[in-house]
Amino acid sequence: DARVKNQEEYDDDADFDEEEVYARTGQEGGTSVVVDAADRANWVRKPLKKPLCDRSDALLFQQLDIDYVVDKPHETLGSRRGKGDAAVVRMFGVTNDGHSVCAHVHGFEPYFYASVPENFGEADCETFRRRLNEEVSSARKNAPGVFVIAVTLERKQSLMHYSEMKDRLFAKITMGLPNMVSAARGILEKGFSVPGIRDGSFTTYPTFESNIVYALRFMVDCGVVGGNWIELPAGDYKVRSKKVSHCQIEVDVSYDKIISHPAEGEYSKLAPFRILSVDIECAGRKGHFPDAKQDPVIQIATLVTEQGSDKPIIRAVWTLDTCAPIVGADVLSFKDERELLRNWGSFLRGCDPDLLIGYNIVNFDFPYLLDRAETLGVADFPYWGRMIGTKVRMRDTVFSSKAYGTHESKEISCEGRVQFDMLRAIQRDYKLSSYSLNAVSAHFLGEQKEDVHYSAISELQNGTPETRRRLAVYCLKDAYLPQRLLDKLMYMYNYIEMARVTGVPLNYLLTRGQSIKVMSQLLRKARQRNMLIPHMAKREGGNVQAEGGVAYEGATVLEAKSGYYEVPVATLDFASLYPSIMMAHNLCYSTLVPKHMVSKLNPEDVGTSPAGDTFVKANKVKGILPEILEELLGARKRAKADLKKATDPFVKAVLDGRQLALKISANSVYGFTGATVGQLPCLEISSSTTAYGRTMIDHTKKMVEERYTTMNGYAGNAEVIYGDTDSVMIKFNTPDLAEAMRLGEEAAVYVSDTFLKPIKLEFEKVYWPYLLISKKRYAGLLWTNTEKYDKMDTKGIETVRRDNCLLVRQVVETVLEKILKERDVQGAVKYVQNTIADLLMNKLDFSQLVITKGFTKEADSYGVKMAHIELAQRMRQRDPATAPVVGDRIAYVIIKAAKNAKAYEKSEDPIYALDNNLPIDTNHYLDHYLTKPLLRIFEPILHNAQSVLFHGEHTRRIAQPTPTAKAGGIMQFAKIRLSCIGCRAPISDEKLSKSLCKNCLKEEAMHLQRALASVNGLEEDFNRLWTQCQRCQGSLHQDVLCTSRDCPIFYRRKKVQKDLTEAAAQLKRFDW
Amino acid sequence: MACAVERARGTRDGSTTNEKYALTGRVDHGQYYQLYYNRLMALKPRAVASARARWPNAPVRGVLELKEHEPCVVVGTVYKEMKDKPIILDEYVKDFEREVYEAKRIERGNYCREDDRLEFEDEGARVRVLGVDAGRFVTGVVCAFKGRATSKGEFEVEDAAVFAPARGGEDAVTTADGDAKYVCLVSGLELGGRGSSAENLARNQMFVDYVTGASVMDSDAASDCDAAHICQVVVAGGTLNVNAPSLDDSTASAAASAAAVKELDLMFTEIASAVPVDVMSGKSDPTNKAMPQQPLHPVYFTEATRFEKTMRLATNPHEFSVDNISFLGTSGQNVDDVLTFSTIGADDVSSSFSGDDAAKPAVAALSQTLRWQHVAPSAPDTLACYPFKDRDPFVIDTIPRVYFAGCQEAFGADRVAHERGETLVVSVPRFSTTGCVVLIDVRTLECRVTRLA
Repeated sequence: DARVKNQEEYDDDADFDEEEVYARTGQEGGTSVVVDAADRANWVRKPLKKPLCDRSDALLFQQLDIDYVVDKPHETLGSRRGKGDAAVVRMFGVTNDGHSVCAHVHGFEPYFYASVPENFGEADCETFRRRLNEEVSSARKNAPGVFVIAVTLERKQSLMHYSEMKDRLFAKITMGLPNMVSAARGILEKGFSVPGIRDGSFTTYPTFESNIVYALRFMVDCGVVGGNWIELPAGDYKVRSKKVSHCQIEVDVSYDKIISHPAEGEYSKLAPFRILSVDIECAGRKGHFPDAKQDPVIQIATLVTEQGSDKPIIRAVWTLDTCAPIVGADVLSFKDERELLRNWGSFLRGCDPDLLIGYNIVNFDFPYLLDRAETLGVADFPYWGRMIGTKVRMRDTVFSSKAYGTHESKEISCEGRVQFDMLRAIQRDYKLSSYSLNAVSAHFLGEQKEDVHYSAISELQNGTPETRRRLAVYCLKDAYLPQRLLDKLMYMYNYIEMARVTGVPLNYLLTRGQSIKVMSQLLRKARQRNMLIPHMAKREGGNVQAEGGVAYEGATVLEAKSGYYEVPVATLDFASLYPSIMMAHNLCYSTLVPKHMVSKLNPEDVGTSPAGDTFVKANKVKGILPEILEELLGARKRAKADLKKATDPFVKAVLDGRQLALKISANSVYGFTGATVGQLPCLEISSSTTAYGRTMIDHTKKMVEERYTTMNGYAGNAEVIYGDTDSVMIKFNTPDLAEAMRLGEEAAVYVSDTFLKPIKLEFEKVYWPYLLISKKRYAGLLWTNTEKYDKMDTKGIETVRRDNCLLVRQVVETVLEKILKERDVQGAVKYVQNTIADLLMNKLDFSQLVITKGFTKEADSYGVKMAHIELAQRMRQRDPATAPVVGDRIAYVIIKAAKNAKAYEKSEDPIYALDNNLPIDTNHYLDHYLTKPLLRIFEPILHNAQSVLFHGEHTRRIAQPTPTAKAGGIMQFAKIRLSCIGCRAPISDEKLSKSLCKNCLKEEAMHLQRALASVNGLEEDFNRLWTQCQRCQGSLHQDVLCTSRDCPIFYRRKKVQKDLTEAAAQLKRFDW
Repeated sequence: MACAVERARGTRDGSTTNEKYALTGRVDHGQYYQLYYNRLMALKPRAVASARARWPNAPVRGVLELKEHEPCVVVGTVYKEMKDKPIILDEYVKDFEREVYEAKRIERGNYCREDDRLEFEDEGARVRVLGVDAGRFVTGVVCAFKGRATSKGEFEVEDAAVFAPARGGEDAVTTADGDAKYVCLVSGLELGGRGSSAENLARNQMFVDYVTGASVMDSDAASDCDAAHICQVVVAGGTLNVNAPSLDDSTASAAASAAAVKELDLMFTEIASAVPVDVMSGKSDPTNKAMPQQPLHPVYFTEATRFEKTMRLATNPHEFSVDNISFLGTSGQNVDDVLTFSTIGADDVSSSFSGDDAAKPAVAALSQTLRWQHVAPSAPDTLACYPFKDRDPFVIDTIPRVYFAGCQEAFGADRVAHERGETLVVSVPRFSTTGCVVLIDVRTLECRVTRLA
């Protein structure tokens, strides 16, 4: 076979020179590689048209990543005050023409502040510096050197608390290196003695801005925000002759020469940066999740796309062992796994991507590759960063945030390249019932994805070049999906906008919480006001949950008057409630009046919140937080206005991303003040905010109910039936939708007038009809115009909970639709009764009954026995090869088990249950899954819901499956005799008929037709299900391997296969 | 029920050929890929041979072996990507998109769109095909394309597709000697269901009388009447229109269908006593729905099946020969499906078409399946069929002399020329709506329609 032969030749000379690989792989193309050498030229970035001249050309680029290194200070640009090494900031980015840039920024020294006594004189500075230096030195085991470079005095103000005194004295302490800041801070806060200051007595010095990351400090001081455009004017920078990075352009510049452009006008665009999407496949051993210590990496699929273009410029897959060619993709095959890794590594460096994306790359693909290379001893592999000769470093981190919860994860340092894990981004931004790539792409892209179980992967790998090709096609698809999700969700636009608005580097957005973003804005604002942010020592230990949770009284809601409302219910919303309260009442660190100060201030100048805290009013001094919020919301307003005007889809995408980022940022400010373990908690602010919110809701209720009465000439007496955190639901008691809208509009203005600006109550929508179950649980048809409802809106109802089976979701959804859309309560009741009857008769689609739960390490170590964990153990005993392992999601159904069986013993693998005819415990589903949610919905509507829904005729017929030997019990010993298809009586004379008893034989045609009816329905289902799987996998001639348990038809197609084979056998008994 | 006429006798054969459509032994529902694979394996050598004849200079390449810009021939199975094709996942679409899908799901005559695209797949891989009108194909057709791979990895077709000609049969030579000898094709009698009106009963009786010769009272005319020359009757599906009762159905409807069944039995007893009759299963008949449809169960014909020699219950498709003239026919589902999922239509019949204009699309589609050498290429993609493991019985191995489809709107016939000669292609109309039967003279292969009502 010519192809294989060619492959061998290819493998023989597979040890490429790093630079040569791109030129060479194309040439062997002969018969196996479809894409020829011309395309390989695209793998590397386009060369510069002419060399950059630092005397005549300005350098303009969009920076995407900023970090720093400790290095020898630059001869001319570096700071000469420190004696040793200095910190050098590096900015990585891309020019408008798509050339990569690395700018070394010199001369920016780390510093912080300490509050010092007013009598601290200029002369004391040097003494102080020397003493502090000594202390730092001794903390470093008496290491010699200059750690504290300079101490100077400045007059500034603390951000914390309102103070009549405008200026206070601070010492600005400049350190040699960033990592010395924390040491110095510790010494100052613990206290030490300095000769001449307070008579040389032991003194503590509160520090300010002493916990700011150096890179962020640099960005704040130089006005750089995440992802903005940087200009280095001609003559102010120097091109490096000897490059230390893989970037095409490498320059040195002093920090004060940088021009940082605000992201406006032409500087709001995005550079054509390179996005590399990756997916790997490994060959796991039977029964184990792949382990990098033992299991080889068999394929790496890689796609490279340029930002702004919709087609990838590179589609390539690296395979272990031969692989048949793939049209439109490059296939690089290797006999040796080491070579494979080595080659991919050098490809990565040559292709020089700015962004690395993928699905779960940070916790799976990347660590696996790195661990594998280490296991195999491929020493030259882990050089993925942009700095020549610098290895990728990996460590475990625990990320904990109030908003996102606690995650264990890996942190991989890859200098100059931003890692953007789509799994993480989507987990942060969307609430989904499952985050598997399949579920996510079904949700956002509207398509199912073929899912090959990892036990099948090894089989494909051990097959032929064609089976490996199949794997490669699958792998390429998985590498393409993250890119498509990135585009579809406009992640680049939204995240870069967010980075620009909040001023943090792009990579902070995924790796850090909300607070750094607020901190960054606070720092910038404080700097303008000549204010300093105090450093607050983080409280040690403590339970995150307990402290971060309910430290102050949160937002309460008005008691819900539950019921089914058939008249329109108008909803008034507070627009940006918390931000506007903070603005209206000037709530800020800098306006908070300490308790003992309150009496000293003019009562006209202050306001005391319902929570009892006092803040200075804006006419006296404006708070920083209100100012940040004003700017954020002002910018959002502008963005929304521009968005309306914009026609170009790209501009629209950018503007929409911006307004969204601004909204999220505005809302996170409140959270920042309430985060007790955060950087700068101030519960006075957050509890005052919510207290104001509560009184406003009460106030609104009172005003509305007093004004809209029949006594005042209105059609009905208004009633506030529910109030959430930032909305009030009003029943005006008019059956007319238009009238309810008009009254809602009017009431919004009427009540708004009584609030301080910019607090504003807005009328947005009417619910009609409206089903209010309890607080935070409701459903209704949402109307914003009188023509047609917008949608059905539900909250807190079992429609999205991931651990429910599909049945519950579907029933609840349909019931709500019938009640709300069709206004057919009787129809809903009938539907529930029918569904329950079908359930009990076992006629429901099997996949609706499947429940999935994650198999996590923690779950395994819980003392409590859990259904899915028990099942995993049983499955391991049956077949270790396919049993789920930690990390998988386990799907199960509840089957009938022996009497007194524990709940956790009733779980069973759906496939196993199907194969062995294990009967479903339909009563369990009814009692444990359906009853509660349905009663919740129906109780406000029907007074006898329980008896109507769950008792009666429809619950009497229950399918009793024929016991099988597999199910155990007495059936193991039973002899099977044919029974009549018509009446189930045993057939006494099998010679007469194998299908029917004597009696039923008289109506053979009818019984035959019944048997046919069941076969025909199944044949159609079988056909539609299995052809669909074939379409999805993209091949007609190959068998369907997919085992995607997230796919709605996965169990159904299996069940129909079985049912049809059985029904056909049944039919055969009619002597056909 | 005496035979009123002295009639022509033909020798018929068919019991053996139909074995390939019969599901015997254990029926096991696996997957569909083997069916596609076997289809490709059966048709590929033939397509390769025709391609070599047509483009002697172009090498035949597998999809995996394509080289950019090299002119070559590829042979494989067509897959047509259609945005509007109804799929089962539509049942699961999200609420806010449902309206779009609802609109799509409304029963349509045709699901084709301008932007339908063709993919082409051999046993190795799949490639997108450019330069071909996707409307002319349905998924599952095996053919050869000549063209070249583009730099984007697509295949640009440069010439018309080549299909695989089948073997010719050892059919009798046609001759006008002797008396006419007819095979009578009829379909859509539709007893029970909507065909149970009194009018329909009368019409069906007319048909019985017609083929048995009972309608001919004048004994002189008896030897000249059609009945005397009919040597074989073939019912191409749609015999019964009985909805299979579900478990909840009332006994009334069950009784009604029982009555229809009884009547049917009587009717065929009459026919079978006079002339050999083959009853093929069809769409509305009480048998399995997926192709190949199995013969109707003898329980429906307790009387008629006593005529063992003349009464034959047949599969759909049905292959048989009369006086060494080979026939192949279906009850029409294959034609309906091709018309639903392609743009093949009335304009595609040849100038030799005869019959009702309304039959043109059906004749065109049927002719096309003959060229494709496959009775039902769109099965299983859009037409349900049994997932055969070891063969594709729908591949046309021996090209028939007469090729027909039942249960069509109107009568139409055309002659399709091919390397092995010529095949008569016939659209057999639904009797219940047209009152027409088709007569084919096996001596001359002339074909005409007779309206009985």
